[in-house]
Amino acid sequence: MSDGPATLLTPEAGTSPPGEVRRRPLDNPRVLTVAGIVLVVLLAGLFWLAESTSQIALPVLADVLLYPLVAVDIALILALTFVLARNLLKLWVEQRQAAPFARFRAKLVGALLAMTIVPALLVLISGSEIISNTAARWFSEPVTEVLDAGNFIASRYFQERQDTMVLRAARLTRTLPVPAVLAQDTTTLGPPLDAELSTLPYGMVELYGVATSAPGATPEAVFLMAKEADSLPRDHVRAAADRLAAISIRSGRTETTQDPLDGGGVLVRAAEPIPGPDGGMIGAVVVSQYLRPDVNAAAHAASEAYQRYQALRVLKGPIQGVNLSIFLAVTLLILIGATWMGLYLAKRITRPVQQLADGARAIGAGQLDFRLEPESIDELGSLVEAFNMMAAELRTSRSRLEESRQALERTNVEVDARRRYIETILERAATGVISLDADGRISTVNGAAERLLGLDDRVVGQPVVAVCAREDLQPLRPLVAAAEQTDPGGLVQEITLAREDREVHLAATATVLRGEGARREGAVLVLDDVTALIRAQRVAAWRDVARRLAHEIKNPLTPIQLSAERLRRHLAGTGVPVPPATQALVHECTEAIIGEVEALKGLVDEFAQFARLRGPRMVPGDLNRLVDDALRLYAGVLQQGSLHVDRDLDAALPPVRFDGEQIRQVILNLVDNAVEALGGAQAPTRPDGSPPTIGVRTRHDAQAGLVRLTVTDNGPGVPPADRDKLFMPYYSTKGRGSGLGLAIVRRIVVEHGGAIEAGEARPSGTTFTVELPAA
Amino acid sequence: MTRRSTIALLTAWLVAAVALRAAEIKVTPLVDNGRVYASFSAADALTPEGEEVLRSGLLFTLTYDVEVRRPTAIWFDPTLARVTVSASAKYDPLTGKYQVDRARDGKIVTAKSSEQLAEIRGLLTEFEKVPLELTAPLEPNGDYYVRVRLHASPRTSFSLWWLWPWGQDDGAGRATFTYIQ
Repeated sequence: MSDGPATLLTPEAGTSPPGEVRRRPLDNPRVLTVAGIVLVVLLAGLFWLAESTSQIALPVLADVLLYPLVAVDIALILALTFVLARNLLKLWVEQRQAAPFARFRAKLVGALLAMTIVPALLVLISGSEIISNTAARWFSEPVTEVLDAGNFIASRYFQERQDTMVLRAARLTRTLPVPAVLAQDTTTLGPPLDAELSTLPYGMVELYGVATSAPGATPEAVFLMAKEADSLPRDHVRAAADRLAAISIRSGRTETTQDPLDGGGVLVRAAEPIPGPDGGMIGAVVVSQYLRPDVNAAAHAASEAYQRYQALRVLKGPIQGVNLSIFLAVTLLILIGATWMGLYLAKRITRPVQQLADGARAIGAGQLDFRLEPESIDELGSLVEAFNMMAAELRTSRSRLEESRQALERTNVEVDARRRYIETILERAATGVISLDADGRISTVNGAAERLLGLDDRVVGQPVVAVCAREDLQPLRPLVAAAEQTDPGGLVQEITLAREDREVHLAATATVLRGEGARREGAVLVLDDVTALIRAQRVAAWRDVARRLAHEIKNPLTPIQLSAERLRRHLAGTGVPVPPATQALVHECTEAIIGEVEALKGLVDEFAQFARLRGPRMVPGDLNRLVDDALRLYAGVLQQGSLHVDRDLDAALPPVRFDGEQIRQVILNLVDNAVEALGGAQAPTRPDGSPPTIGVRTRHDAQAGLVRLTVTDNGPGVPPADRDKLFMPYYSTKGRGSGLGLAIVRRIVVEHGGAIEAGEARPSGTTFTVELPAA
Repeated sequence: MTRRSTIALLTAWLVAAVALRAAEIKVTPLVDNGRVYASFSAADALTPEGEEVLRSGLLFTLTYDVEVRRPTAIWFDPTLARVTVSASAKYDPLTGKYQVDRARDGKIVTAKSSEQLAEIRGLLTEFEKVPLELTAPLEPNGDYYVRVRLHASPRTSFSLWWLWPWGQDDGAGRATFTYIQ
């Protein structure tokens, strides 16, 4: 059925190197073969032993062989019990643990054991009965009677021969003359011996005298003569007769013996001592008769048969024990072999299936290196081969999938990095970007867009139309509507939004995103803050206007002024009486012309300064010192007035690269504005009771790399809508002047790489904040 | 049933099994000039089963292991002398005679033939003054004992008790003596 057990290979688990097969010793084909050979040899040995018991001496069977056999039986019973108990316990445990195929294996093992054990036990019981009954039949009564009778006849025959020899010896002794015996006269003693021999077929008569070596010494038998029949075989020896005669003489009693001869016959002898006159023994007669070999053999055969029978009867128990032990040992060996083979076959059947299940589970768990060893070439072997091929295919597919996954992961990482890069750029970019999905919902919105449009991240996911429904975002709606069109053609619009206290000018672009097949996948709104650009354009326009004004207006002013002065001098120098009213009128008009021309000159000068403001010559300097110098100019004003200047200068302020003259102009302009806002040097106390105060503060923003200068007043403040206009040329809240002061201030600050803005002060007033880059 | 009572019952069963099977051997030690002789008699050694074996013509042997030992309290008793004597008897149904051979340590010392079973019984079961060669001299005023164990062969019955690894005697006896110089 199979050529070896199967074992799961788990190279990934590290329990077994790839290619190495772990086998349990009992599953090794060589071990199985050796075990089978041992079993066969043991069975053959037991059969040989069973055949040989008839050749073994019965005492050896009873005293020597029986005990090892019983020991072997007990060992086999223990082995069988162990095998059964172990495997049944394993099955029980497997069932308790709900192991896979436990019930199936239990049923299979139970069926195999039942098919093995029940017949074996039946054979054992019936065989034991047969052995017992057969032994009982050995000793049946007829056999016993026959053997007893045969033995009795044989023994009686020999006994009668023996008795006859004794009688003849006694009779012959009485016929022998004592003097002749004492004299050891063979001539006289011969005839009686002949007479006795004549009536004794196959007989022999031997006569012994006595010789004493010394007085009191043991008498020795001396051979005198022998008479034997012609029919007596010649292969007998006299030594036996000599020994028998000597014994009889010494004991003074009749002695008998049976001397077996080489030819198979036997001499039945009887020795009779010859008493002397003094009571001592003077000799002995030995009478013998030959029994033919056939008679002797028959008698001995009958006796031996009787002895064997009796020995069997006496040792019936141990002999039965030997036979039963051998039979039991054979049965147990067969049982053990069959049981083990049954269990092995059950395991062979269930294990591949279980291993396939385990393998499927392992494969399902991702251990694709699991392989099953093809253990046979039958259907199970083909199934295992198919399983291994499936596992290999899965492993290959998994490898490819893993490679693809890794490539995809790398791509994702790259895309993610690129996305983060783009997101960072977008987040840090000053351009606002809003992406819309195909449904017109906001997908992303960057920080610039949030800042420009006043949005937060909660707008993500909302329809852009709903977001633009807000009042301040209404100007975006045409662009949004264009973005929702199929092909807006990269529509660019300039949009002005009112953001809190200022206007924001945006250059907005809507671009449709297209996927495969030109399918619309969304749109991108790009918003560029062009407020500064427009403002710069306006400033540039104003500079051009100022230059033209300065050029076109300043030239005629001097002739106008000179003409007015000449007119007034002429009227005064001619001596021609002029009516006082006329004189007063001329004087008044020329004064007005000259005054207005002077004012126009001043205005033109400011325009000229605004138009021809030179570039800053920046060197590192101390802003705090510059502030102190500038404020020192106001010392007199402040001493006479009610104004109060609050200085808060950062002692750790780093150097700043600036043009000292221009930045001083900035500081003076801002402080002048503050003084003007508070109502001049004699400014009254504020309505809330606080003194009119101008705050000047410097701070260093190390994180932003900036130095901030703030000038704050607690005056009435500037409406939010006008704060952005403060820096426009020709805009003034004072109703006088050119309105170029703050425009020049902004230009100076901007040309220093900084920024200025006006804000609200708490609880009232205005704060101008100038940011300059730290050196 | 408690474990203690179970052990007691098993022990009693074992002792009873040994006592029922074993024949009692009367041992009489004799010390003469530092030499030890043992006379012993196992009157019950020739059981009816043994007589049956004897009459069947099988060679029936009674083997006696005779030892002189010194008792100790905490260890196995040391053996000072040991001799194995045996008496084998065989019956010839043809002549009606028993042939008895006595051997000492495997060497036949006497052989005798008789038709009388009583005489044969005596030859098989009674031994007089069997000398024991001591491996060490007896200590004056020392306590010793002579132990005789009997094994009969062949056995006529079968018992798993015979699988007892240290053997099982068919008879045993012992007699103590004090060596007084």
